[in-house]
Amino acid sequence: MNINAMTQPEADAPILELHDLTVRLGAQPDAPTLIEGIELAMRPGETLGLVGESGSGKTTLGMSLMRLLPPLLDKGLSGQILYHGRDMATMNARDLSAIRGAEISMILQDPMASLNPVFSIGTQLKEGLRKHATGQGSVHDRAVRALDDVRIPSPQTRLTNYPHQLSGGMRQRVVGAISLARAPKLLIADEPTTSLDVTIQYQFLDLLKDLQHRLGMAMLFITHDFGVVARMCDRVAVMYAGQIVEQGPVRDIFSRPAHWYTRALLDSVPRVNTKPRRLPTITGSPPTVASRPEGCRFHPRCANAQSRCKQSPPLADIRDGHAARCWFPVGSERRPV
Amino acid sequence: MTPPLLEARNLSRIFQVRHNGRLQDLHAVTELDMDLSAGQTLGIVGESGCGKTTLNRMLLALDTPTEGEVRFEGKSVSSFTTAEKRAFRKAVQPVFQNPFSSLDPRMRVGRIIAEPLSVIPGLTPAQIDARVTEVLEAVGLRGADARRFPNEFSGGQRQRIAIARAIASRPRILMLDEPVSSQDISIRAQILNILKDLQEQHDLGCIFISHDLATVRFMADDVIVMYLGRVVERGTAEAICNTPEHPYTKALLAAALPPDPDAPRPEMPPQGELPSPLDPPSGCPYHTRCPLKMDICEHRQPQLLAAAHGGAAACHLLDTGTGRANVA
Repeated sequence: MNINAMTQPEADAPILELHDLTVRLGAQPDAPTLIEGIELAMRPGETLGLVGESGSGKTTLGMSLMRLLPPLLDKGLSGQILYHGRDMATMNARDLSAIRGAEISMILQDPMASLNPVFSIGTQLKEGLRKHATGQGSVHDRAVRALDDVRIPSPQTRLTNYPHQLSGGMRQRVVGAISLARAPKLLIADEPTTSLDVTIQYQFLDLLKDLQHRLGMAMLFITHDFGVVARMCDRVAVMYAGQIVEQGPVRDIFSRPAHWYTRALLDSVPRVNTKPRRLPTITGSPPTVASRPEGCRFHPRCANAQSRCKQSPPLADIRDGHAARCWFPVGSERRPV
Repeated sequence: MTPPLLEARNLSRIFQVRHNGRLQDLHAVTELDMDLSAGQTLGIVGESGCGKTTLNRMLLALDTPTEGEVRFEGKSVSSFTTAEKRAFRKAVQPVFQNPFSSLDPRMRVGRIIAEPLSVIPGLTPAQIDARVTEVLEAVGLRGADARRFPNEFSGGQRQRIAIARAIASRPRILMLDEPVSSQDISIRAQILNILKDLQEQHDLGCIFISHDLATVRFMADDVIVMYLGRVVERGTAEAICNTPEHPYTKALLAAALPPDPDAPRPEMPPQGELPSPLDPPSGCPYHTRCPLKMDICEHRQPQLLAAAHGGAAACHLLDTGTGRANVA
């Protein structure tokens, strides 16, 4: 598939490529799938937004990239996860642990789930730094610098603090410091600001963008919030019921969504500058893993569904770098069936 | 003139908390006034620690104010007789954020919804069943769903059940505390529309508590913005979202990221963190984070003064002759 044509010259070789990535509930070939047939590529330095509702598989996808799925699901993983051309899907544990944290790192939604409450943040920060012997200065100096990088005031004293002594925003910055201390090439950020207040979220997003530019790192940004996507991302992939249903450059996705699901979601978001009498809605709820419909998985909720939608549509190019998994994409609805 | 349906006058709540081994006062809500009329939605906006949950509890008469009073139809809630208290419980119903914790997993949906009806004397079981069916259908579920358990429903359906429970006793007021923040985006619009329909059909007064200005813009007629227990700005939802005067409201507005990649960057992005409510700043509570801070802000608490948008804001920039032009 033709990816974004406007990438920088040095950004030609993808840092990460997913081919037919599928995760099943166990190793049996007929086990239900959590995510299915994922095709994605990421370039160095770019931010790809992965948008979806709960149960769409976006967290499963994020975890599978680190090979951090629960054992049952890891056994059900198939397809390719090419990091700089090396397939992580078949990699042994030693090679994987050399990549995790150093090359690919992660920030999760709840900082308290990432931080250990009984160790000082200095101890937790230095643990990662010690594993990675290269770099300038003592481990302590580098820990101070790491906290300073995430704009934590008086980092020397903060190193002796325990997680409960910090605010939610500061905890998430500490998690950021730990994740980025070894200058990873790819950061997977899974709803990193969902637990934060909006004014703190704003500042954390700015900080992430800033650090990303300094480290030249690519970012997979998992979120359900289109406002966050608009602020952070270069490209967007929309997930629904375990599949990518649309992907493309961020401006294109927002101004000309091609999948009816994306368009309906965007329409349903309230905005500060207008007050409609009613918000446009999507009927029903997203299907659970056990109740995914045949054919296009969105068709039972789609206002434009037709008989052909009972067959699975492929993720097909609409225009340059923009693809949708829909037989009758938005704008083509008058085409003869 | 008929009094407002629900009003708060000079409402304050001080908690005594143990901090570093000694008792300290925590001012959760300070000198708050508000009015709510039938058919009207009042949005209460603020982030964690702003006192909106304490306010909600006091308005529901689940907590007693340290000072000031809550009045229902002109009468102080604290002076209610037992019969009046019962009528108040029937008339003011809450909907909470998380329908996974607000619905008892061991009760069938029918019993959950019938529970608030127990304060109404003389209802026969048949009348109760009929009412349960009626409210389930009003929120887009089926009467037969009354026999099922909450775990058989999705998050969005559970919030519909919580709303059905809230309207079962034919209340006059709904207290909505972040009713859609735990919901998936495709579900939020459904729930918001249901709430709006119910409000119009039954002329309900609604308190809508949220941190999200875009949702408040859709739901609310009037808005109060709270910071560290105080009202810092009030006005119509349109005024608060289009022409806010207080720097904190502007920061909240800037933080409400629009779903538009080409949206201009805000002039005054949010900065800093919320100070500890146990050790609030002197003067204006927002001065530690305010990009327009002046000397006076550190020393003197600003009063809520009339703002250009017709509402009010507590900011020294609105005082005459102190750089009023800066905010225009």
